[in-house]
Amino acid sequence: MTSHEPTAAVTGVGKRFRRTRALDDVTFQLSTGVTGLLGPNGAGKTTLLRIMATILTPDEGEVSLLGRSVRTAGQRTEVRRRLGYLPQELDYPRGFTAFGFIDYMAILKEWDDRTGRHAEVRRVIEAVQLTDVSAKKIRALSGGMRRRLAVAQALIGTPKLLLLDEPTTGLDPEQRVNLRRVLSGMDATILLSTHQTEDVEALCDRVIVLDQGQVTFEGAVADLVATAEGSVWMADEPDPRALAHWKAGNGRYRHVGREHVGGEQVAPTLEDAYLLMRGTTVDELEVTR
Amino acid sequence: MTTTTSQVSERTLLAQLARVHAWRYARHPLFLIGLALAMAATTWDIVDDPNLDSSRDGGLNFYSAFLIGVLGLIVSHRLTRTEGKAVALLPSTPVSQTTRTLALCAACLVPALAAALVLTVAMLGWLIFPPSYLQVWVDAMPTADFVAWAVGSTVIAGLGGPLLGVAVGRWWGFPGAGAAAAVLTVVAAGAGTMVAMTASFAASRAGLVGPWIVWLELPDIVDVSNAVLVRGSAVGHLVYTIGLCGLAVWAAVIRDAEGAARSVWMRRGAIAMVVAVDGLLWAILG
Repeated sequence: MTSHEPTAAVTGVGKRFRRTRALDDVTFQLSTGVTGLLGPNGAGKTTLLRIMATILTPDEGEVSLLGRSVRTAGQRTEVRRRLGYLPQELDYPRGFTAFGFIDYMAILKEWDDRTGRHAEVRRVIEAVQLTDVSAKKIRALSGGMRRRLAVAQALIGTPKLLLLDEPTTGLDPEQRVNLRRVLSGMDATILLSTHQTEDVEALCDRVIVLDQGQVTFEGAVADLVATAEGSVWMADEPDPRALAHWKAGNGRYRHVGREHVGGEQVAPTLEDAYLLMRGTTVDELEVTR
Repeated sequence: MTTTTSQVSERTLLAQLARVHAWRYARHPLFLIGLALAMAATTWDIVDDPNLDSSRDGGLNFYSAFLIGVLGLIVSHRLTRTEGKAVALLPSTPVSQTTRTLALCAACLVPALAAALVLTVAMLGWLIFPPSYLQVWVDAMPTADFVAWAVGSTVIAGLGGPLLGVAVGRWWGFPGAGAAAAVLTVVAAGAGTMVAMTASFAASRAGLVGPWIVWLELPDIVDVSNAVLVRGSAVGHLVYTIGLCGLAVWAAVIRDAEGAARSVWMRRGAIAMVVAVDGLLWAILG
C-alpha cells in the first residue's frame, strides 16, 4: 500500500555527457511502494538511477532521498546506508562464491557483526532461491542465477529505498514471479526500471515514463492504461492505418492507434498505452529493443 | 531489526574487508606457486652443499623478492582489478573507496608474512648448516645493517611488490598492466643492484636508488670471492624501501580520495616521501 508522504524527490535534474543530454529537467516524487520506470533504450533511465544511487552527480537540480539531500558527502553516506541498488549490468570480482560475494557486499553495507551478517546473507540468498548454489563459485553460475545474485545484494539490510535497473532481465517466468513476490512484500520505496510492461502492471501502482531524458508521464498505472481506452481493437486482417499491429496468439490482429478504424474494441494493456504514448510502431520498437 | 544503520567503526570494517582480501590473496594460485618455489629453493640451497658457492645468497633475498614480491605484484594487481569489476555497484555502498583500497593494501601483509616465513626457514637452516658464503656479510656488516638488509630485501620486498600492484591496479586496471609493472620492477631492481655491484659505479652509490640490493660489490666480476660489501647504510636503505611502500599505498589511495580524506592523504604522502628521501640519503651517506 502506498503512503503519500514522499520519500524521494527529484527536482529539475539535468545531466549531460559531453554533447549528449541524458536528462533534462526531470522532476518527480516517490512514495513508499513500487513505481515503474518505463522508457526506450537511451531514454536516460540508467543515468537517472545512477544519480539516485549517489554514483553520479547531477549537473543541475536537486535530489532528496529519504529526507536527505545527496549534495554533501555525509548525507550521501546516510542515504547509502538505507539504499539497495541493482545496476543494469554487474561484473563480479573473481574468486568469490555466491555466499562470499553477498557476505562481502554485506560488509560494505556496514554489517560488522559476523553472526548477524551471515544470517542476513542466508536470508537474501534464500529470498532469490539460490541457497542450493550458494557455495558455488560465481563463474559456475548461469546468467539468470548471477542476475538473482545481483538482486540478492540489493536486498541486504531490507533497504528503505530500492533502485532496480532491469531486475527481471534473464529471469525465467518462475523467478520473475518470485521476484514480484519478494518486492511486493517489502515496506520500502522501490523504483523499478524495466522494459517489461507486464512487470509494471503486476507490481506497480505508479509509473513514470521517461523519453529522451524527459518525463512524459507520471501517475497511476491505471491512468496511463486509461489513455489508451478506445484505441485498441482486434480485427481479422491487419490495418496499416493503425500505429501498431501484430498477429496475436488467437490468429487475429491486435491494433493500437489514435483513430479506431474498425474491428472489435478491446481493453488496453499498459503496453498498448505505452506504445500509444510514444507514438511508436512495432517495427520501431523492435529496433529500440 | 534486520538493518544496520548505526555508524560502524571504519577500522572494524577495514579489518573485515582486509580479511576477505587476505583470504583471496592466500588462495591465489600464483601466490601459492611462488611461495612453494621460494620455500623449495631455500631448502634446496641449505641442504645442497651449502659451503660451496660464495655467490649464492640462499633464500635470503632473491627467492622471496622475486617469487613472492614480484609475482605478488601481479597477484595484487589482479585482485584489485577484479574487485573494481563491480564498479557499477560499489560506489553506492557506504564504505568509501579509500577504505576498500586500504583493505587491499592490508591484504599485502599475506605475502610479507610468507616472505618472513621463508626468511625464518633460511635462518634456521643456516644455524644448522652454516654456509661459508654468509661470512662475507656476517663478518663485515654491523648486525643492525645485516638484519636491515635481510628484512628489507625479503619481507619488505614481499610487501612492496604487492602494494605496487594495488597502486597500479587502481590507476591502470586493465589486464596486463600488472605484468608490465612487474617487468619494470625487475628491470629497476636489477639495474640498481648491477650498478651497486659494479666497482666503477660503486663510488657514486647510485645503485642504492634501486628498491632491492644484493649488497655486494664485485671489484672483479669474474672472481666473486673478492666480493666486498656495498658501501652505505643498509638500515638507511630499509627506511628508504619502507618509505617506498608508504608511497605505493598513497598512490593507490589518492586516486579516488575525495574531500577531507584527500587532504589527509596528501599529507601522509608527503610524510612517506620525506621518509623515502631521508632513508635514501641515509643509505647513500651512511
